[in-house]
Amino acid sequence: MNSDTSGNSQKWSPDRIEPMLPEAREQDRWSALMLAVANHQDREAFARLFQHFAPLLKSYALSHAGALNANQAEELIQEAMLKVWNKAKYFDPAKASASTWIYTIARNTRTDMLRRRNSNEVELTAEDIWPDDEASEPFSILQQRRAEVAVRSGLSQLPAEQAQILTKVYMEGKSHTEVANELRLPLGTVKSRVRLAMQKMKLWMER
Amino acid sequence: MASTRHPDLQFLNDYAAGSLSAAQSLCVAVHLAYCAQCRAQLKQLTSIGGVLIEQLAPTPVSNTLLDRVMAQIDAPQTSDVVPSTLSAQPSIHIPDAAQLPKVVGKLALSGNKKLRWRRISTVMSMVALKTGDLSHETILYKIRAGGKLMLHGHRGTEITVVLRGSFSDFAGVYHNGDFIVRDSDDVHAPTATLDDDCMCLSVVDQPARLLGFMRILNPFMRINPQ
Repeated sequence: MNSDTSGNSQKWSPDRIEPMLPEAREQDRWSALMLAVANHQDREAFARLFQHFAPLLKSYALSHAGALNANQAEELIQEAMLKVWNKAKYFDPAKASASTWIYTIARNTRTDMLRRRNSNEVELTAEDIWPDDEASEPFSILQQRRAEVAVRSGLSQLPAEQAQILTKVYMEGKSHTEVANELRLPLGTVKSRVRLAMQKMKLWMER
Repeated sequence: MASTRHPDLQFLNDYAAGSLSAAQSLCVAVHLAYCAQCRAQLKQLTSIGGVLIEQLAPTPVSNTLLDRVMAQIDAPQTSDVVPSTLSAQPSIHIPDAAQLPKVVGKLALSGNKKLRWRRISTVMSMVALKTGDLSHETILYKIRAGGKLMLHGHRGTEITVVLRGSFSDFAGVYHNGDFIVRDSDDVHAPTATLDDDCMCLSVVDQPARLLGFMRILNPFMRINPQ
């Protein structure tokens, strides 16, 4: 699991960007495993990623408001983890942590599964809606690493009422409007709580 | 020209989370194709998903699941190659389609249904697109250079993304990539600027509300989500 052997890791030096928080070190471990899969089709590394992420993906699948059952949740894991294997070569630790990268795969897989379930003909697939960005602007890589660190430390310090909304939007797949209805709050209140959360995580630049 | 009207935080978060309807997600995706600033913003928001998924309480999976995935990895890959749509002929003519975001070209390809431009007035043509989103109507429309649309209001929410050319209404002038949201309080008569034809993508959840004499048609207005 020596990440020095990988071509990808050489341009990547998180230590220069952030102090090594335990969470960041944890993320680096997943990134190293991803790179081993990408560069050496390392099955051992893949199995370790699976052991960590599959149970999280299952919770993610089950938390959706559209309620996938346990079997469908495992289908989602299968489909998503197969993509993790097949697309590993596109993983770039400088652009996103392993968790975020795997999250986007899970989100896309869940979206496609739900659309297939609701309609025979799927006109718009997840790939149409979230195209892989080929050209990433180099200046944004540093920003991106910083953002991940800020989100990681910021989320745990958010007041429950703000964190709850983000969890419903990102994990349960509910829109702001649906969250407002569920919590019987005016949409404006939901939006302002989210805005406060973004400010705390230094994520949103006012335009 | 860089786009100056952006989806707000609500749209970007819902989009990043996969919580936005297909048709509205399409509008955000089209805007992103024009807007590097929102693409950078989106990447940051997406990391919220990455952090939150780490914080879920893990649910045990079947003992055999890893083996099943490994077996799939070893199986001769059933090709990922989806029947290529590239060779398919678009059933409507879109001038310089290659310069538009890819997804627009894909939707304009003939599916089961023959698409055709429908002339609505001397200055406007439109075509309804099939997105699979049954709560929103998605249309592509063209306004001839200098053409002015009928004054209308909205009952629900209308999202418009300018694909090329530009148009103006009471609130400003809109260019390539601009993402414009109008809701029930707004009344406008978009007018294409004189220099060029204007093409836009529009997604509505309720029919428009006509004003003036044409309002007698309002009870008959329907949307056609498909």
